[in-house]
Amino acid sequence: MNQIPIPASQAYSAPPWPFRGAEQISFVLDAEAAPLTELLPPGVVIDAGADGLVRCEVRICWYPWSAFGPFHETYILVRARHQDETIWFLPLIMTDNDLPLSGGREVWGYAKKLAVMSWQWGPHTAGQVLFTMERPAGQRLLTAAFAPTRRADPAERVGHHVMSHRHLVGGSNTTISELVLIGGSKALQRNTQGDPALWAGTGSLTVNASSVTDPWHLVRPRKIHASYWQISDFALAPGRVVGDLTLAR
Amino acid sequence: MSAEGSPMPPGFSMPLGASLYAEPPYEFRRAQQSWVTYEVDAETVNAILPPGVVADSDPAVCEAWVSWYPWTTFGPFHEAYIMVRVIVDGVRYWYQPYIFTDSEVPLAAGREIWGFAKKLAVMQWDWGGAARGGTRNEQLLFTVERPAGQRLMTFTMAPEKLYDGADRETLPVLSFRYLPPSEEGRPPAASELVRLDVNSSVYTAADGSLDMWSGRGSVSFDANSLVDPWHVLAPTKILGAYMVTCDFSLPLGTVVKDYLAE
Repeated sequence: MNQIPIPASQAYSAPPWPFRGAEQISFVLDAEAAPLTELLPPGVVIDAGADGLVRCEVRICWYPWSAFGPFHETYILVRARHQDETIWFLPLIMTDNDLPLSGGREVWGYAKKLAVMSWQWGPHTAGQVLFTMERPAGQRLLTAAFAPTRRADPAERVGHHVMSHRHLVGGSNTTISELVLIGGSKALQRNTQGDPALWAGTGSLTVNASSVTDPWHLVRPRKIHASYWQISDFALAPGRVVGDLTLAR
Repeated sequence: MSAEGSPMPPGFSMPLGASLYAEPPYEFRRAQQSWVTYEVDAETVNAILPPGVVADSDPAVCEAWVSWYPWTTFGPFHEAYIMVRVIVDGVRYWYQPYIFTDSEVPLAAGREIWGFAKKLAVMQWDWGGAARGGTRNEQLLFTVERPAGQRLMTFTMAPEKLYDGADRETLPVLSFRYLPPSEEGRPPAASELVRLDVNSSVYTAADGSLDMWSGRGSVSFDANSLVDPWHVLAPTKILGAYMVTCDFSLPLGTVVKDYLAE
């Protein structure tokens, strides 16, 4: 095979894609499992409990510096099983910058759409981070609030690899449909005393609209177990293909 | 139902179950489009083309297109793009190296289905510069900025005469669809040339004449951006300027060259 050409005007460069000072708040919650099952591809089994609930995380993010430029992001993780591994499946994600939109969809299959988001933390937010997401502007899909209350131990956080479904249809039967697993760790920033930038606190999530186009209401919390705010540095790289669903369609 | 877990969620595009865009064809109604045909040095054009794609003349012929789509199945949006007349394996096309839009839905669909190298930009379709406080006049002004504040293209067109399109050669559109690998060490998911045949119908006036116009036009590539190097295709000579109101639909494309298979 000859050298494969790349486009003359790239939207994003080659990996890795570094992030610095990434602010992320994770809301650990239980939601009804059955409706979320509709968003999972073949081979990915929702990890529901006997009570019909499934552990999820909703994450809200403000990335002030990245190789894609600054942007907001919010996404849903659903605990599921693929073969013998417990994973976080990522069915829904929003961003507000076209470069991570294109890169996310095309490299990993992160099913990003653009939405209008705000991350507010100031004298007017009553000691809380207030995050809102609307799509289209005027239809509120998510309202999240977080008040930090104590320093947290990184060991409190339960990690799984994140899985996405890269599904891209082209002409001449060139559809790509594969499960992609992403690992990697995020290095927490530390203060002058060496403490990691990880805070636990009081979090609330309101999933406002019931949109068929953007069904974030499927993750309406039945119970929020914990919430964490972290500031980290990391770099994103391609993942690992763990399933080919091209023939499943 | 698959052997394990759920059936494939419904939909055409990611996220399945809540698709960003539906399946083709994609319909456009009352599309307003204008373009300037011009010449560029062939060597300059050939330097940005993928392997096996060459300008079909020297000097090369290019077109700068600007569009306002008030109604489409992607929603309303603006678009601007450059076309280069090329030849590949004996077939002539309009190859599209650069394109901007201002809506994420056609951005993603364009990139993923056909390989249109779209980015988001700030665009304005503005008769006479009236939106900037100018007086309405005979010229359409279309501007492209990326990021907002960096002007990449200034396009003008003053329609003067009805145009029947008889001297216009219709060619398919060609794009380079490149999808990176999702795993290091693997080849790209796609590296191919895609042909798109657009089904288009021009509106007619009450007297039956086509809503197509020729006139005077200009295109200026203002900034020398390495990120968005539209200035590389700056005109050396303007050949014509045109305007049309039309309906069209976009089907799936056809792969005419697969670089991974070579």
